[in-house]
This record gives sequence, structure tokens and C-alpha cells, in this order.
Amino acid sequence: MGVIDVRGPTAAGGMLGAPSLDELYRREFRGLVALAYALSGSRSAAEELAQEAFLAAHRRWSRIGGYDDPVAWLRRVVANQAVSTIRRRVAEARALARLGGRRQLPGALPERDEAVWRAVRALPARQAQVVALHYVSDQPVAAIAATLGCAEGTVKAHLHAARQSLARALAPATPLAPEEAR
Amino acid sequence: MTADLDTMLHAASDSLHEAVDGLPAGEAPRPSPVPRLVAAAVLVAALVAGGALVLRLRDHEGSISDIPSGPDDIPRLVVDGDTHGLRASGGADLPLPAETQGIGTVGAYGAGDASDPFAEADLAVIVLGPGGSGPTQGESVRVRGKPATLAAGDEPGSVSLSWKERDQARITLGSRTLGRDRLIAVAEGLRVDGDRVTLGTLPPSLDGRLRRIGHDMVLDISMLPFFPVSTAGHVAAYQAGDQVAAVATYAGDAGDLTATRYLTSADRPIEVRGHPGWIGRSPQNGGVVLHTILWEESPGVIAVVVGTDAEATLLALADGLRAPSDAEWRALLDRSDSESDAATSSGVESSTATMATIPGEGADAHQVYASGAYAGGTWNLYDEAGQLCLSSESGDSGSSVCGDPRAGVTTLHDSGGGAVMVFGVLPTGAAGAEVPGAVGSVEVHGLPDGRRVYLAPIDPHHVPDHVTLLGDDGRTVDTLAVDS
Repeated sequence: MGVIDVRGPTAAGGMLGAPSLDELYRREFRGLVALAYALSGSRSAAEELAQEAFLAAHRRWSRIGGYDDPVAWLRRVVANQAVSTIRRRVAEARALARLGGRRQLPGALPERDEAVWRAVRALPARQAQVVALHYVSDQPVAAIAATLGCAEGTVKAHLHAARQSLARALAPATPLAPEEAR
Repeated sequence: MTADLDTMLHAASDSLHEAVDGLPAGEAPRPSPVPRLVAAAVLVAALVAGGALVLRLRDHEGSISDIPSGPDDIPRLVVDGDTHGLRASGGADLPLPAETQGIGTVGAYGAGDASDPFAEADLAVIVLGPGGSGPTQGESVRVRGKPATLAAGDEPGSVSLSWKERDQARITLGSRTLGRDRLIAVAEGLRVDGDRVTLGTLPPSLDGRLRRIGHDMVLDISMLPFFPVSTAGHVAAYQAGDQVAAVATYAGDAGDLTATRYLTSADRPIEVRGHPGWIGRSPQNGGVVLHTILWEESPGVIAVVVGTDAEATLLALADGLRAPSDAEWRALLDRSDSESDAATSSGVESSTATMATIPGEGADAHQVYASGAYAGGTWNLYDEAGQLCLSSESGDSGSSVCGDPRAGVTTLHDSGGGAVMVFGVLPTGAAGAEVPGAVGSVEVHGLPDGRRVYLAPIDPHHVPDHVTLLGDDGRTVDTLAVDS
């Protein structure tokens, strides 16, 4: 993979058909912000966490650029950082620390949707990550397992438990179906 | 899974994607040689946690009468050279344009006398805009017909009450003197008019006694320290790795000075630059400790240094402050502009505090007290700028957390976000700790200064909700909640 090693993240176009970091950024940045927003609940931290993930990717692009799916790595970084209280606060601080500057943040969510993500964030971290990756990033179970570095069965178990908890948390709007209530 | 829940989650996801749809996404961020300001957002967290609302006024009470009217009347102060490795990362003149002002406001109320306006009663009223958060763990109560959380603070008797008033606005009340019932009563009587929140009907014991101290202050971490909403002044920001500091000078009266001291716990008298001043520390959630130094720089001008560095470092920094030339100040403002432009247009990121740099660095660079291994990797217990830190490494990833050198319990999360260890300093009378669900034994290590620290690996999937500190005889000395 020597060609990967010399390919800088600033390359305008991908070599050997692989996307450059800039291309990934243009394509995936907003989706990663959405993922971070869902898991952190902070509009300012979400944007910052996604930026941090790309910055981290930049630093080790010689390795990450060679991955089959570098976006999975980015998603993992964002998902992990967004559920870490201290990292989230640092990111929030950094985002809000642009003295006198302008910043563009994600828009606020309607209350009904914010309530859904609040309930997701109240789940254990791994369950919340699985739910966010499944619904926000539209990832199937196998991809989530690869992203989080766990077995598919574990992802399914987290999803099942998360859905049970969410159904209860968001009740009465979402009563459990009879087969799930058993 | 019900179709309803699935539909709700998909709809909520669609909302998220719509919310981020307009964000610019040009070129991927690259490291910049210019460190950007990392101010500590944590004052907000501390306030809403109700943990830092304490003030013990002593000695040389401030008395400010003549208030300068414009920024030109307010002296600028900057750090001299690269003091303690801190490098300038931005600056701003106050007041900020309205569109860039804070995420909320905080107001202080007290009942007391001239020597201590908060002696008999104290109250902080925090109003946060969209995105504002409050304590999530505590007693569930209802105030003003809405669900609210009542949480105990770190200081004895301190308590906070937080609820979402309407739309995205969140109100949090904090006090160390009012207690649960009176705080709820104050909340019920609040007058809310748009973003303006004022005291309304008060409990009989407070009626006519609780008065406003100072003006509403901006609550925005970019604007640490607090300053009155529409005040004139200047702020300069500095960074050295994860350590951040800000220096502000702004127009304020004696009430503002008193309120700032109250809100920042700056209660110890000191001398700064030949002026009487105060210093205080505010342990924050997440293990960060903020130190605040404030003094009256000149008549009607409040000066504040806030930072995460060691107290002695910040005192030296404050004593070494100097007035910059106009060109120097303009360069500082330009640096802020260029940083924020880069961040919003091309996404340039320059902070050194990334997840990639955290693992192991602290342990390598500072005094390591103890090391060990657990099922998931290795750990180091070490000192960093007076804070007690724990790091873990597993394969090529790792994480670390630093906190109050006297904190009873701190949680270390791994790079996967899972809680992997808890640790803390044993208080007097405690000889060990019981950690429910600990993976392996709970270890106790003595530090050179006499502190004794317990630590235990835990299962990220079964994070204990508390740690029990035990005495020599096995009796419970204290039970501490674990922040998972």
C-alpha cells in the first residue's frame, strides 16, 4: 500500500479510485455532524466533533486513507467522542470560543424530535451509538458492528434493548407492540 | 418494534439531517500552527450543576463608583510574552455584536449586608438559550407545571433546580442557602417575559429581602469570564495545549464585582498587581478546575483572569499582565477573525486538544504515581499541573481524565466512550472503597503528599452508580455517585 503512504490528504482527487479527504469531507461532514448532534445534544459540539474527527483523520491519513471504508473510522470517532462527557464539553467550549467570530451551527430541532434524541441520549452509551448509527447514519447491523468493533449479535442485542427502552421512554406515543412487550 | 417508534426515529433523523443541511463543507480541516482559543465552557456546567455557588466575602470589599462608558476608557491587558507556554489565541472588544453574544445570561440575587450581600440568602438565575443543558440526575419534581430536576451541588446545602420553560429556553436556579422548598417556591413565582426572567412572588422569608446584585451577565464560554451583557471592555485569550486562560477588563460597578465573585467562587483575598483582589477555584464536571482571579484594575474597571492552569501559574500571569500596543491588540483581534473565518468557511481546525493526542501524553510528561494493568489495557495515575489524572491505553488507542486533586470519584472513559475505571481520593477516615461490579480488585495507592487514591477497573456495560468509601473497620464513610 505504498501509494497510500505518499498520498496526502490534500490531494485534490483520490488515487486508485479512493476518495481524497476533501472529497470525504464534502460528502460526509454534514452526516457526521448529524450523528454527533444526535449523540451529544449540542449543536455547537456536534459541528466541532465532526471537525475534530476529520482533523484526526488528516493526521493519520496515510493509514486511514488505506482503509476500505475510512468513513466507518470517522463515524466511530464521532460516535465515541460524542458520548464522552468531557470530550463533548471540550468540543463545545472550543466551538463557542471563537471570540467575536461568526459560526454557523446546525438548526434547532422541533421539540418532538428533540425529545426523541433526548430519550436516545438517556440510553446506555453503546445503545445510543447503535441507534444513532442505524437511524441517523442509515447503517445496517453489519456495518455498525464493524464501526464499533463488536459482534453483529451485540449490535442486535443493543438495538433490541434500546428499542424496548425507547418505547417505554416515549410512551404513551409509542406503546410496545404485543410481541415486544412479552 | 412498533411502527410508531420506528417512524418517530426516522422522522427525528430526518430533522437532524435538515438541521445540518446548510452547513458549509468545503475542504477538510488541517492542523494550523496557530493555536486557537479553547475557553472553558465548564462554568455553565458548574452553574447548572449547582456546585460552585458559594461565596464567603472577606476583607477589602470592593467599592466601585465611576463606570467608564466606552471601550476606549477601559485598559487592555495582555499576557507578557509566552508566559508559562501560553500563547495568544484570540481577542475581542466588548460588547460583542448581538448576534455573537452568549448562550444565555446569569443573574445573582442575595440577602445580607454590605460585608456579605449573600450572607443570609443567595440565588443564581441562569437562563440558557437553545442547546443549554441542565442537571439530569436528581430528584424529579414539577415546577410551573413542567418537569424539573432538583440536584444537590458539591457544596454543603447547595442545590439547583432546572427545567425547560418553553421552546428551547432552560431556566436553572442555584443556591447554597435557600434549600429545596424555598428554591421551588422561588421558581413558581418567577416572572418570565420572553428571554427576560425576573423574581416574582417570593416565599415570606425572602419577600422584600432578596435583592439584585450586579447586572445580568453573559453566559458564554467564549466570553469567560462573566461580564455584564452590554458592558464595554476587552478580552484576550490564551492557550497552551489543553490549558486555557482568558484575561478580561470591563466596565463594572461594585455589584458586578460582587456578583462575579459569587458566581466564580472567588472568595480568598489576595493582592494582584498592587490591587486588592480575590481568587477562587471551581471544580467542574469532567474533571476540569477553573481558577478565577479578579480585582479592580482602575476605578470602574474590573479585571479578571480565568484559566485552567495551576493557581500559582495564573497568579504569576496576572501579576505580569501589561498593556499592549494598538498594533499588538489589532493583531490579536485579527487572529480571532482569521480563526473563526477559517473554521466556518474551510473548516480549519487548530486545537491541539484532540483525541489523538490525549492517550499517554500526560503520563509521559508528568509525575507518574502508579501504573498497572487491567483486562482492557494499562493505566497510569499521574499529576498534571496539580490535577490528579488517570490514563488508560489499549492497543493504539487510549484516553485520560484529569480532575480535582481531591475529587472523591472520577470516571475514566476509554476511546470507545465506555466507562472503564473509577478513581478518587480517599477522604480522612476512609481506608478503602467498594466499587459495585468492579472488574478485579480495588487498589489503593499512597501519593507522596499523603493522599491515598483508590482506583478500580469497571465494566463499561455495567457502570456502578455509586462508590462506597469504607473506614478501617469496614463501616461506610461516604457514598459517592458515579458520573457514567
